[in-house]
Parts: sequence; C-alpha cells; structure tokens
Amino acid sequence: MGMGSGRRPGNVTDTLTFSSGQGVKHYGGPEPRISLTYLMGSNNSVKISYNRVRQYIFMLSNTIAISPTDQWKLSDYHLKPPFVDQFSLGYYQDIPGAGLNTSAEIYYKQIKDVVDYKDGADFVNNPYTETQVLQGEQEAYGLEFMIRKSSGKLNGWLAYSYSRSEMLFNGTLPGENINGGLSYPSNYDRPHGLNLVTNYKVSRRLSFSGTLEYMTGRPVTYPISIYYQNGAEYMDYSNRNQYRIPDYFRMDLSVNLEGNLKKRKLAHSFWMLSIYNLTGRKNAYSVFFRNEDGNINGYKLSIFGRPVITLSWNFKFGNYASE
Amino acid sequence: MLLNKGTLYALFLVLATGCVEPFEPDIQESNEVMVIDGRITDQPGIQTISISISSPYKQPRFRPVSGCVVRVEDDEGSGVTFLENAEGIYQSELEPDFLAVGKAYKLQVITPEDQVYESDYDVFLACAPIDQLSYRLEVQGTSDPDVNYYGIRFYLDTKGSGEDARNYLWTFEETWEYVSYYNIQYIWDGSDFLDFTPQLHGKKICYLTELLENYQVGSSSLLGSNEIRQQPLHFVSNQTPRLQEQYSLLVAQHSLSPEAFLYWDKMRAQSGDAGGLFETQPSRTSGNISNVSQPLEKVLGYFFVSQVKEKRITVSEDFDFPIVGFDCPLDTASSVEDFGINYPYIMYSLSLIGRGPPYAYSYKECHDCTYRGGVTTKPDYWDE
Repeated sequence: MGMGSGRRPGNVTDTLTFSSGQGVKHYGGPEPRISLTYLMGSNNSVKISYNRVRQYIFMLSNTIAISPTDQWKLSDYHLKPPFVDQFSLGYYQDIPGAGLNTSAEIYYKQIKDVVDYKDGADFVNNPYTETQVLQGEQEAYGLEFMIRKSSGKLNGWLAYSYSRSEMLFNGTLPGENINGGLSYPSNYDRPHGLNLVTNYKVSRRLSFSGTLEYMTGRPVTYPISIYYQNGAEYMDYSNRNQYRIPDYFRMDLSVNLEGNLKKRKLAHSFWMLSIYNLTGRKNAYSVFFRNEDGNINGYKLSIFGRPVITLSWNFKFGNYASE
Repeated sequence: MLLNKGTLYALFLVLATGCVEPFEPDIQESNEVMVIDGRITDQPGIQTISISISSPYKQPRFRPVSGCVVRVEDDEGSGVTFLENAEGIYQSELEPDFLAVGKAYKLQVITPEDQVYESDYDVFLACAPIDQLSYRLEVQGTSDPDVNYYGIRFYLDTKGSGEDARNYLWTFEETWEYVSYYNIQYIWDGSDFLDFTPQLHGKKICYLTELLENYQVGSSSLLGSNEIRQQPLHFVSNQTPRLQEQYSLLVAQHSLSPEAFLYWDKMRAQSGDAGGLFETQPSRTSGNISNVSQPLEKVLGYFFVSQVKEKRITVSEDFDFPIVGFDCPLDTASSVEDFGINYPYIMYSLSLIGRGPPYAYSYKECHDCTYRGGVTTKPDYWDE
C-alpha cells in the first residue's frame, strides 16, 4: 500500500510473499484482569472489575442482505487485533426472608481497532478484505437489573438491561471515515432488553412455566430515495444504522405433567406441552429490499412467525427423583 | 429453557423457509430532496444542468424542478446563465474562452421559492490525452457454475504532465453495427402490397449510437508520475448482439479535482441497480452543493468542471465465443387477414413465384433495422 494513501483496491502497490512457516505478523500484549469483592454484610456485597482482552478473530457483519451474513476474519498483516477495556461495578443484595437475590450492575467498555465495513464496501468481490474495512473505536455502556427467586412454588427471574454501543470511524484520509466521521449505533446496539422466566409448581406432578423476551430491534441502514444524475439512477440511503428493524417480542408457555411417584419402578415418564411464540408475533429476522421491475420494495423475513406447539413424552430410567 | 436445542433445531428445519412479507419501513425523513446535477466540460456544444427532486424509492422517476435561475460563475465574477429548454433541464453554450485552466467555477441555482443553492468552487484542470485504448477477452462467471459469460473489456493508458489533473473520470459512447435478420421484399400497408427496392431504401444494416450510463474513475495521485496503465473500462458481453458485427467505443477522459474524484468514486457503489442494493455497504453520499440560507438542508448531486480528451477504438474481430442474437421468430400467414392490425407488416415471400400466399413475416425490427433505433448512415469512422 502507498504510504499515507488509505487502503483502497486501487492503491495496492506490491505483493509480499512469505515462505512456509515464516511469521507474517506478530501481535500480543498483557491481558490484565482485576476483580474485587467487598462483603458489606452477610447479605450484600459490591464487586468491581476491570479486564483487558485482545481479540485475534472478529466478525464482520453485513446486515443489509436477506439473511444477515457474518464473516469471521482473523487479524492479519493489515488488520490489528481489536482490544477491549471493560470496567464494571455491581451491587448484590440477598433478601433471605423472601428467598430473593437481586443485583444491579453498570459497565463501560472501550474497544480500540474495532472493524467495520467502509461506505460502499463490496461484500461480494473483495480479494483484499483490508481495503473494504476500517478500524476505529467502539464505546459500549449500560446497566443491568436482575431479581431472582430460586425456591418456593413460584420461582424464576426477571432481568432488564439498558445497553448502548456506538462506533466511531473518523480517519482523516479520503474515504477513511464512516457516516461522515460521526458516531453511529453498532449492529449490536439494542438499548432495551427484558427477560422474564417463571416456573409455577402446582404439585409435585404438575408445573407450568413461561418466558417473556423483549428486545429493541437491531439498527439498520434504509434506502430513502432515488434520484438521477446524467441519466443514471442512484439511491440515497439514511445515515449508517440510523433506523431499526421492528422490536423483538416473544412469549412461551409450557406445561409439565410428571408420571406417578412410585418409588420402585424401571422407568419414569413425563409429558411436556410447549407453545413457542404464544402470541404468534412475526418478529423480523431481517428487513431487506428488492429491485422489482425498477421499483424498490421492502420485505420483512420472519422465522417462527406463528405459535409452535410441541407435545413430548419423555422417559428416564429410575423414578421421579432419579437424576 | 422451555425448548431444548434439539427441539429448536427440528422446528427450524420445518419452518426455516420462514415467512417473507412486504414491509414498509417508517422513514422519518423527507424522501423529496433537491437534486442538482451539473457537469460542465470544454466540449463544444450544449452544456446541461439538471434540477430535480428525488423520489420515494418505491416510485422512482425523474421529477424536474422548473423555473429556476441557473448561473455558472468563475472566481472572478463573470458568469453564464443557463436557460430551461425542457422541464428541469437547463442549458447553455459556453464561450470558448469561458473555461480556463486554473480558474475555479461555481454553480448558483435560485428556485421559484427564492431558495438559493450554491456549489463549492471546482477547479478546471488540464486533462492529459488518452495514450492508447485496447481490449482483452474476459470470461465472467455467473451464479450458475456451468454458465459463463464471454466478452471483451476495454483498457486505457494515459500519460500526463505534472500540470495535468491526476484524477480522471471516463464516460463512454458506443456505436455498433447490426444487420436485420430478414430481407424485405414487400410491405403490406393494410390495403396494398408495396414493392420494396433494397437499393433505394436499404434497411438492412444500421448503426446505433448510445451514451452509456456507467462510468469509471481513476487516479494517479499516489504514483510518482501522472501515468495510468491498463485501466479497466467498459465490458461488452456476449449476452447482447453488440459484438456480432463491428463495435466502436468513444472514451471521453475528464479531468477531475481531488474532491470530485472522491465523490464519483463513492457514487459508483450507490447506483440503484440490484448490485448496488445487495452487494455493497450502503451509505449516504453528500455532494458539494448546499442551501445558502439553510446549510443543514440535505442536497444531492454534484457540480464539477472538466477538460475532456476523447479517443475512439473500433473492434471488428470475429470472436470464437457465441454471441446472443436478436429474437426473430418467423411466422407464416396464409392470407392478409392473419396480419392483424399492426401495420405496416414487412415480409418476405415464401412463394417461389411472387409474394405469396403463404406470406412469411417476423417482427418489424427483424426486417427494418431502423426500428431498433439505429440509423442507416455509416459513421465516417467506420472500417470498411
């Protein structure tokens, strides 16, 4: 590559060859991890941690295709391994009388040399991956609340998280920034997440359980309009990851009926009836666009977009209590 | 977990086809944006600036903006006014000395609503001549591994001085010769057969000239000398009849400022065809035009000035690969009633003694080449 010229397919000036067994490039460094726990009383504690991790393999994600395609890429001669510094602070409180464990955590992550596709990167014909991607910074932060009840007739947990993840690529060379050098949401920026898992034991033989999952939709870049220059058609897009695919919501339910509770028997069986996606919501797996006779049409792909009912009869050796 | 992994996997197999349904994203920004496309060159003749509004991606069409006052100015204040000759199309002929190397130019557009749009200044740079054009055979794979497309790709060499622009844009105009499939013997005009004299009317061989929409950009700005070798240009495939007879490509080499080069380089990934939509990372491309009183308004398009050097290459080789021809099925009719109402029918006779019946006919354009848009006048640069 020419010096100070940016990595572009047209800027390739030389080919390096390496003999068998020869090291091409070496990366490395310390990865310190520190974790401190302070027990404030018998039922509450504070934990602080810091760690640094280097990632020698990372994922490139293309979210505009019909099926979002991910490509794993090793660090190489041109692409440095990203490294992350993560800080977290958590407060943990047990409430023994009610059988509850609660926690609240905040975290902050800073990732250097994170990799993302350049504007206009070619997903299909790119013999030189390093000319199609840039390395920049990513910042992620958030907080998580959790409450868990692990004993009693009614048990389960409820977790809520607020998390953000932003990318910044503001290189000064021509074509070396993304989104005009302004920060934008990463592909994994899904601010709100709620998980509820409950189990209700009516008796030793009959139990119900249910889950509920909600997540903000993944960021996406949408086409906005079409315009013409010198007779040719061009597409104008939104800023990188400016919009989101629809939010994800799912509710599952299951009933578990155990066989008899005799102590001495060869095998024990139980019935399980589950309904996955009880509300039949058509959650978007991806949103994509097709050019049909010159018109651009939007489509949503959903998988399991209806309730899925399964009934299973399960056996195990031994009796009810056997592991 | 209510469902274990095995169950999920089995379910996935059943439902993996998924469900695809139309989806309208909720777009919270205007899809009607001002588009100003201005390219000024030193080529003789009419220069054009087009002004339009972008259209929602579902209904793409050119939506002209009429009634604007359009003016191109140099950095010393003298300028040329462009007049609206068709809706949204503003044109002018430039005085030969208006564009001068080293001077910078800007575009000003005042809309009927008194919004003033101005471009940045773009410098008019000297353009090196095209040294040489050549072509090479190329095989292109398709999604079907057993099917390959053959064709030729053109290549360019150019060498400029230190004063010439280091950034280039290449546009193409192609001319190709084609021969109509069938002769004409008679023309049925709905009531009579007209005799046709080939010597007099000659509709057998045509030449079709078209400006191509695609373009290429290149730069020597990183190289020691202003020299570009074997720059790939336009590809002509065997999936059209273009290479059956003679083919000619006129390449116009435009000088570009570094800013204009970056813009047009990026725009190549944004073109609205299917490839651009699914195979590249989409991005917003901002040009060099803005609303003077509302700098935050998004404006699409670009204004730039170029010196142009042209060169032509003509191909009259018999290629080994198959070339797709026109679709010209021959039909027969036993009486003139079978011709329908789409006159004139042009035919040649299957009957040995005269014009028939039976009559043989095909699509008009398979007999008379001018129906495909070509002209019968041979261009003066054509090889014999």
